[in-house]
Amino acid sequence: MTRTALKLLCIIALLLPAGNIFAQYGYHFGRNKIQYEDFDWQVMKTEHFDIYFYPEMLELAERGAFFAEEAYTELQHKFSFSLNNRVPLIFYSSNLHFKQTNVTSGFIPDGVGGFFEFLKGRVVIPANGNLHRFRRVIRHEMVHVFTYNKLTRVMRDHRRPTDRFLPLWFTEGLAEYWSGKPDDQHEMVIRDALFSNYLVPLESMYRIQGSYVMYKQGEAINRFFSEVYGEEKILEIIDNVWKDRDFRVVLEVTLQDEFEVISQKWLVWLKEQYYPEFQQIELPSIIAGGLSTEGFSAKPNFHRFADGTQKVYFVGNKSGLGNVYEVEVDSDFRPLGEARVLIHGEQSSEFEAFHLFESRISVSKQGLLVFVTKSGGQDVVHVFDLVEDRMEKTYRFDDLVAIYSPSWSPDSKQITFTAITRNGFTDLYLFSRETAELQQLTSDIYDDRDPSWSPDGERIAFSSDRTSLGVDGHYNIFTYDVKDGNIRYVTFGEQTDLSPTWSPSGKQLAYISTRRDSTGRYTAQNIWSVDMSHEVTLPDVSATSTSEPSPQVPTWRRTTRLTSLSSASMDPYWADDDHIIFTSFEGISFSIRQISKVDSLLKAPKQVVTANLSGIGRPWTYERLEIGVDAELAAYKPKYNLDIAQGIVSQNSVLGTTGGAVLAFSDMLGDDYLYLTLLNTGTGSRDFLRDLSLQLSRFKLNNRANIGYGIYRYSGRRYDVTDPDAPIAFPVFFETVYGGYGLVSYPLSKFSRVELMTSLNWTRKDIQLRRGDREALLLSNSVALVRDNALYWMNGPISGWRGSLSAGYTSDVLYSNVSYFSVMLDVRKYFRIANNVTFASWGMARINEGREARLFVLGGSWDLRGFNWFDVRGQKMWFTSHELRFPLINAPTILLPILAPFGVAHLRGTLFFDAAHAWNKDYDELRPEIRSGETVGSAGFGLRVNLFGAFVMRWDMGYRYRKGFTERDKIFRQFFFGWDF
Amino acid sequence: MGLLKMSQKLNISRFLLFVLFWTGCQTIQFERPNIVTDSDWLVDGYTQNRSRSTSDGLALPLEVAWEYNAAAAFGPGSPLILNGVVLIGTNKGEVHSIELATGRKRGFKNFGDGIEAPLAISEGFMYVASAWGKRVLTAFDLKKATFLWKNGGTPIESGFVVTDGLIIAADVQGMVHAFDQKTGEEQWKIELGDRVSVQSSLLLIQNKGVFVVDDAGRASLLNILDGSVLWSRQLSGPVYEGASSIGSSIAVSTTRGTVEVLDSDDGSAKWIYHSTNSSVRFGATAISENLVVVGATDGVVRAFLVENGVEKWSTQLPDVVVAAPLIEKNVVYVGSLGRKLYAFDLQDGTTRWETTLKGRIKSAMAISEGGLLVLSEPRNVTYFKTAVGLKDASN
Repeated sequence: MTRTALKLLCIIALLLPAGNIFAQYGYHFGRNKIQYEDFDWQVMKTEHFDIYFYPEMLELAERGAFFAEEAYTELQHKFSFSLNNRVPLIFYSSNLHFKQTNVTSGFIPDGVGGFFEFLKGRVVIPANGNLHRFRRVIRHEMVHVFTYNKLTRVMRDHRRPTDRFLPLWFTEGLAEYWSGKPDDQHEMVIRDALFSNYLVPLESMYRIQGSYVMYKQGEAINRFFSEVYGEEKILEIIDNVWKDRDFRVVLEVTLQDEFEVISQKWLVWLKEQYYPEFQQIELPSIIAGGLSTEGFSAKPNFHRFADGTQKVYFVGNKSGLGNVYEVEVDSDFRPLGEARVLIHGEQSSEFEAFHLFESRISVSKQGLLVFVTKSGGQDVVHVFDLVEDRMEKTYRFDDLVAIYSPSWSPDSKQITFTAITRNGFTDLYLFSRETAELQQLTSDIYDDRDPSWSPDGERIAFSSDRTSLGVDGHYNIFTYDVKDGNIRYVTFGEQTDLSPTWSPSGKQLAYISTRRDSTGRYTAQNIWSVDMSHEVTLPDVSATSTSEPSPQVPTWRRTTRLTSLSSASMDPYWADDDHIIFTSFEGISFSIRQISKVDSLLKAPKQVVTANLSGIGRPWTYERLEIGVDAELAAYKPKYNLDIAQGIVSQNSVLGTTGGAVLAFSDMLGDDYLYLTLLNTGTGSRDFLRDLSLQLSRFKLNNRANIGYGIYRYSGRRYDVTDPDAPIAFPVFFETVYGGYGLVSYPLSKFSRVELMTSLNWTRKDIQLRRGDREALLLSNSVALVRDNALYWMNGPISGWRGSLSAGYTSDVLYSNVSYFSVMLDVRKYFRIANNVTFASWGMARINEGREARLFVLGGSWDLRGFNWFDVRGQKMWFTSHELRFPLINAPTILLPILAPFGVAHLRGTLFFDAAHAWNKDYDELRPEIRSGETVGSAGFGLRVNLFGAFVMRWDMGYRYRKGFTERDKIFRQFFFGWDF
Repeated sequence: MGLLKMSQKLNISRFLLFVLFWTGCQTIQFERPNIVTDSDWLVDGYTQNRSRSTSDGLALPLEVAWEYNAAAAFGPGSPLILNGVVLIGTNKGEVHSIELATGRKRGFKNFGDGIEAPLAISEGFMYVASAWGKRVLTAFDLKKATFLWKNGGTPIESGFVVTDGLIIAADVQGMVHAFDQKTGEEQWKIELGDRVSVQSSLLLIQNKGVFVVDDAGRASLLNILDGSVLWSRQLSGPVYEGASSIGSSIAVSTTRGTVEVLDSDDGSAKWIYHSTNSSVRFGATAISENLVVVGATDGVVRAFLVENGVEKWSTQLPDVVVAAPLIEKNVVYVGSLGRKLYAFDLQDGTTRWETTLKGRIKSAMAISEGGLLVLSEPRNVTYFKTAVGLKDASN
């Protein structure tokens, strides 16, 4: 966001080149996207790709190169198409590095697997420790690349405009479908949609636009097209897009069925597959007691205090922000109240993100809670003392980028966890709190995750794709022997076994498992348990994968399925002998639940399967394209390519016609931007050169400190209400400015930054209505401290706060006519009264003091309502605004479906009160023409509605007050667009 | 005032001239469209069995003689040639006529929405099918430059057969229609199956019937007179690309990694080639007396013996091949989606010549008057002729 803010700041700076650009809008809010790493980018050139990577992740990049070429070959068949341009693939070794990419200016949340960007055709993908997943994401994004190119070609072939896109559900569904077999996540969502009865029909897919459910339903629809109508029909759909703007018509033409029939057939097709299971399934909400069933909750753990108090801890997001919660439970694990926030997250640099669905938490017998958060450019491990209710220690490991799922040793002296280094591979680590030593337990390409220490302290159970079946994305359970360092199979088979947890006695190991059934689909993710009570002779697997496995010895373990859930369970934790707490997925909601009488379930399980370990094969690996053999290596040299070339024509009754163009260039990694703007306000060819304005700016974003600089010439008529030289009634004059500027934005954390700005302008104004020519050489410097941790929702911020304190000085270094300083303070606080109700308070004070200081302005829908734009002006001012924001209709489209195509969402109401006072020298010096010297304000009611998720339509009505609120004007109404403050 | 009036008259006359020029361009007309020679290509692939093989020989290497911008891309069929004029249907719905010798535009006419199916000329009439819109089949009098008849119905994307006074065409809903060539009246129709579509051009099998294969892989030989099914056979996969035929052999490629050569007498498979990768989609075929040549999405161009399916040679290209190859005396021409045009030795597949075009080649080619006509993206018609002074000694 700092980049966006920076660019915005620069653009505004250049639109107001004369004098103190700092005077009116010298600060901008927003969080900071920080470049923590100094990536040494290199380029690997394969047959079809330019792969951008950094040396630490060379092995991953070579494997990714193989995956990309492999995907290219397969997609050539599916699309019957070749790409005629090389595809830029930008790899990051981990999600935390990926979050720093400048290819997109937006923030990348956890869980985003990669993206395809249309402008330069770039594909950006992090590996994050799971090669199978990495391979699948590369395929997914390559499907997008092929789809986009194919679609563009079809439209151009038929001379149709290329602005016609396929529906998102189709393209994302296709990318999922053609990137591999439906995985366990697909089954989880589709089963839930069917058994919780929220499956969205084809005609209403817009309702789940952009959601994870849309991806998975889209995948199911594409699979339905393929299996019922034929695989080739999918390509035919793309081939037929030119025929009609309405995608329903395209489907009808291609599939030769009415749209409603297609939709109905899809529902029937799905139900026929899943509904036979109805008799066997158990809904979590019926069979498992709920401990936290609101919002998203996951990764439960448990502690029994010395006084007998029992509490369940978990990570959750109930209000838009991730936190650690606690809920007290009785002996039967029934909640004794509402869950409360133990550790607030996502609003401070210490706890930026909890990796809600990726990282487990652990509580030691002594009551120490260990958990992981993102803090700066890496993950850190926190230890919180639950008994003392205080943060005890935070551990930061320089070599570890990402850390997941810490687990205590029984004596609370050691912590084991999964971590990713800069090479992008996941391994197990052991940290001794006594010696502060970090020991790497595994070192290979396999994804080792979810470690759990046995009660006797001798073994660490974990899940890994190091199983010989891992090449197909399967995971089995293993143990790491703490004494001899050997790894041993616990389960084996074509399944996904995750999240092991030991029973208190250490005789059982519960875990989550899903496996493909006879139909080839994954089953529900159920809780299983494996008998660990007896020693078995198991083959050892080296922790480094460099040596061969030990000789095969046939052996087995008994595994039992404890649940028959409808969709998915996750993160089981064996709280006591008779209770397992876990995360359940039901009704698109993740809840914390518990199953009791575990002993009975073990005695009468739903299913018993013997894990046959005799078939264990050899370690697997994926191929790679080696640099120097299959690919060439080149250093990355930034090269500017045109991003946007846009003409500008504007017509203004005051300033006349303005014409021009903007050209934007950037490099492949988005680290370096060049902007060239040309404008002309001349009315004839004679005035062309006189009225020519141009600016050239450069922004460099590849370091933590973002810098921007540029030069400009501005010449033309200006309308400037803040200029003290301009006539109050009609502040228009001709001005020529030559200048340059420089700015630095240094983020202190994700939430705060320091901004420095300087500019030097030579200006000549021709003010015909007043004093004639006026020249100045203005030097302006400013510094600002900005903080923003506000949480945004559809119409604006709903919690947190943001503020800015800035100071600056402007002087005429040539003629000494201008000399003034500026101080501004702006604080906005959002009190979340209820989940959907926010009380927002805004306070602002601004001072320009000195010779020929500029005026500040207020008025309009965005600040002082009831007054026209720039109605209130003064060199000093205070302003306050307070709003109560509340919901009216959450989904207007349901009441009026005709609104759906307009993306109308979240009709909200607001009660507001605004007050302001502007003045120049004397606080009470009344100047009616600029409404200074009196306290003015307004109060009333407003409506807000979001359009397309991008615009907020604002409508306000109320009374306007003047003269210290002693006089009330008639009712005003205002309509405009813009977010809430 | 006088000057003003003169100026106005001048402008009006300029305008009228422009209108006349424009409307003149906006048509296609031939003096004697009935008179055809051996060098004319009246249907896609030269003959209605679409063998895509010719005894014409071109001396290599070739060079660009001219290039023409047709304003839109093309369907999978080849251009037609009549009286030294090239006729091409475009995806924009226009038919362009271009002088073969010079590449100069003679005219163009809009026939509605996108044209995917190749055109056909018979007895002075041109038949145009549309892939979308209200009018899906049109008969155009090339001499009078007027429409003879227009038929509505289901769009047609595959090439049709003109024989015995009938136009036989298959639509995208799997219905085969026979229309009277002169009146457009439907003479018979037959449904190939439920929810099937025909993408592959129909073939005229001399003295036997019309061969049609749908996108479900059902191949049939129909009686020309009444549309009755003479034989029918389920192939090993859906068929989307053009088939070709010579003698009693019909070469068909599928989207599931197979190429089949059928006996046109009874539809039995003479042989089936199975690629090791069943996801390979084979392109349109070309067939000569000895060889079947076909490209594929794996970039391999394969030549099989017609007789037994033995692979005589294969050549790996870097890009997908979907367009029908063109077999001439000693050389087979292949266009790829990698913008490349290749000439391979027909006997051993060695590359004799290659060149790069501006865009992908997705359409069949034509040879006439010592030159090669190639259609490519984005909207180019390129005519290649033997490079002066650079003739390939081996040719």
